[in-house]
Amino acid sequence: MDFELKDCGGCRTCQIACSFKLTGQFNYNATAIDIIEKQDNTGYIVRIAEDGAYKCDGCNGHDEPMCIRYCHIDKDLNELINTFKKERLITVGKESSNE
Amino acid sequence: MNEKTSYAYMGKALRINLSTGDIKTFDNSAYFDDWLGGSGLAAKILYDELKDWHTPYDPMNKMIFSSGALMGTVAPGACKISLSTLGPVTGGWATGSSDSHIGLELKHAGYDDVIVEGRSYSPCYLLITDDKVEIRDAKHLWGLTTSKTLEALREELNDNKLHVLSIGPAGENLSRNACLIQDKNRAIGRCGSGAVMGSKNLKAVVCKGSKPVNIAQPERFIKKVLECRDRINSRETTKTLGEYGTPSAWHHKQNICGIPYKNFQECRIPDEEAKNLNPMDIIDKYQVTRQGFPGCVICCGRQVHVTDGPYKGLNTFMSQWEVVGAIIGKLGVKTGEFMLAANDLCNDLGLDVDVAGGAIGWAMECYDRGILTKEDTGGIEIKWGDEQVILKLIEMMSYRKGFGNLLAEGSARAAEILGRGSDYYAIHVKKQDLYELMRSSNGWCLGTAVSTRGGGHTTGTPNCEQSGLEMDNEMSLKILGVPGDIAVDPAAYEGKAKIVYYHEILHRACNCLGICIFNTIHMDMNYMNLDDIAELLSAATGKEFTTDKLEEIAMRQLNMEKAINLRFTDLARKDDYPPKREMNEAIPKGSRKGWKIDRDKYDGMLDEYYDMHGWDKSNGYPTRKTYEKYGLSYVADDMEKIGKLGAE
Repeated sequence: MDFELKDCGGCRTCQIACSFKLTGQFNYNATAIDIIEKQDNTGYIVRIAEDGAYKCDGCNGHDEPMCIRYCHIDKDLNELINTFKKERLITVGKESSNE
Repeated sequence: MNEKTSYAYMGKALRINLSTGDIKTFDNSAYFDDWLGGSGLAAKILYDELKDWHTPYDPMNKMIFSSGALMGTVAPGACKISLSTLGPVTGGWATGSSDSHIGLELKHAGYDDVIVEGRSYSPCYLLITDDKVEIRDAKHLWGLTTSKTLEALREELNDNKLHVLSIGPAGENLSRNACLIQDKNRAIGRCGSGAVMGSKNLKAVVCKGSKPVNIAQPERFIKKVLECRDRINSRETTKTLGEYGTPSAWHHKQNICGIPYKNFQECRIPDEEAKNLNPMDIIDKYQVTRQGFPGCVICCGRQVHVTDGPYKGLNTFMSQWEVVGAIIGKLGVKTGEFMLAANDLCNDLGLDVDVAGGAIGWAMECYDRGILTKEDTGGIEIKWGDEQVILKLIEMMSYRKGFGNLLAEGSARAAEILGRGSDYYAIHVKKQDLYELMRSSNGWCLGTAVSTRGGGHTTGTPNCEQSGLEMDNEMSLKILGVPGDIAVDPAAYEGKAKIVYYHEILHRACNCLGICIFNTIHMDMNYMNLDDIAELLSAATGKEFTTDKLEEIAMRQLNMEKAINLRFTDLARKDDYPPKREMNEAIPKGSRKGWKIDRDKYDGMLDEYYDMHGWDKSNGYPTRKTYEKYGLSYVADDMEKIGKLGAE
């Protein structure tokens, strides 16, 4: 699921934090959140993985998702993650419980 | 995971010989405990492997790129890649660092360091993809600007997320102040490292990695990271820097007479002109989005789009503070947007914008005084603030065309070549051009003057006098060992040697570990200090580090840097002074009108500084006892042979 995040500076600290939560190691290739530089415009797109090896579970069980904890525009990212949770995670949860 | 897990460091370095095509890896762990890797490792390797007859452009000179132990983690500001070499500006120790994504990619590829030596027969670039390392043909890239190089490599390698470190025409043409540019706008500047890269026919370095970074004690590490992040986030400084970056220093620098105007003749921009030059107004007007780098709590960069005026249509990155000093103030420019245009052009040509204004400012003053005429300049009238002429000269310096060939040498060498008494107007330390105005803040002045890389404020210069922030007395005493009111007083001479000493350790630790100094007490006393960095490193590596240990390691490195300079240059105490104008002239206007550096007091400050380091006060040379204290007795033997061992 892709989002616009106007003030994202593309630092990718959220990715590094996410990878640590998912794998116990730091590796911004192994992450459920991806910051993508726009090719035809200025700025970045935030992509949250719904499937694949590393998918976002909204940091279930944590007080605050790791990506938000390390974001300098945490309020904006929080809003985005909440949208993702509402729109997609319920479905993901159902699929997971069926497995 | 490998059979042997390396914590924080990857435990492996690359050695690439461009003359022979040999590519080898080696275990670099011997350089961790005593050197912290990074620029410490580089100092040790450069000293040990270079021969006395090697020069910066000799194929046997080495460029040593390093990621850093904390790079790749969420440690605050862990985004700096460093590069060290023998540089063509001072002829000695050259080092620089840059915010980067490519440093992260290098580390994920599995390497802490890359040593590049030799000279390729024809233009080449390095492609490092995990275990696959290639020297590739770059004939088709030679001549391209840095942005075009990025574009071409992303297309050629079919990956629009690639990060590239490249040189532009300035590096290719051995312009002495050429830099390296990461992607489009972040530079490894000063020291002319881009020209060393050009001399090796190396156009670019491309890295892409997929290996994880492990840390030894995750819980302890994350606890410290979050504590530091929360502390940094709680500060008003972070809001200000987050909003405007280093240009937020504008008002304070004007107030304390900290901006060079017309080649340092004055120390602030006249109010009437300053109205149109506030860099924060430029950000408010043209900001499109922000630009940040891994781990950074602040995110000080900006992307801008100019929508009106003479530079309408320019899509670029906001310059940092230095362009206000180096170009706008120093050259007497009257259009604020010009800081974007000049910065953009320098980055694209791979000319260090920090120092581009050095030679141009010298030429403008010489022209103004009749020392240079149109006959010397090829018919160009070089008048203060002429924006088109400045852009033209930046291009001519980068391509070494016409009069630009002289300016490409930097102001100090240009003045040596020209003569006519023009050396007084070359504002440099150890031939490194400056934008750092030195005569208005004594600690800032001392740190910049004694820097082993020649000028610059990122290898030991304290910022506390320049920041305008109040200093908590107790905190200042505890961390710096100096009362707060003295630490922030730009006119005080006492205690400044001690503060420089602390910052020499802080900056070296940061440069070795990959930390941006903006996340440290360089910017705000509540940000990360050496205790914090030692705790992060301990948790990350599983080995215990303390501030005292970091001090020992940083001082070992500093003495090695000194030894490199003593072997390859004639630098000595005489070169640890501000430029003549800064030393001789009083501040002519502004809040500190009439203030002048007191020569005797400066000498006292320098004596105290040498004493603290165990260096001979008569010449600045380290003594045998000092070298031996850091396990460098073989260096002392070498220095004795060349007659450069300090007297006890």
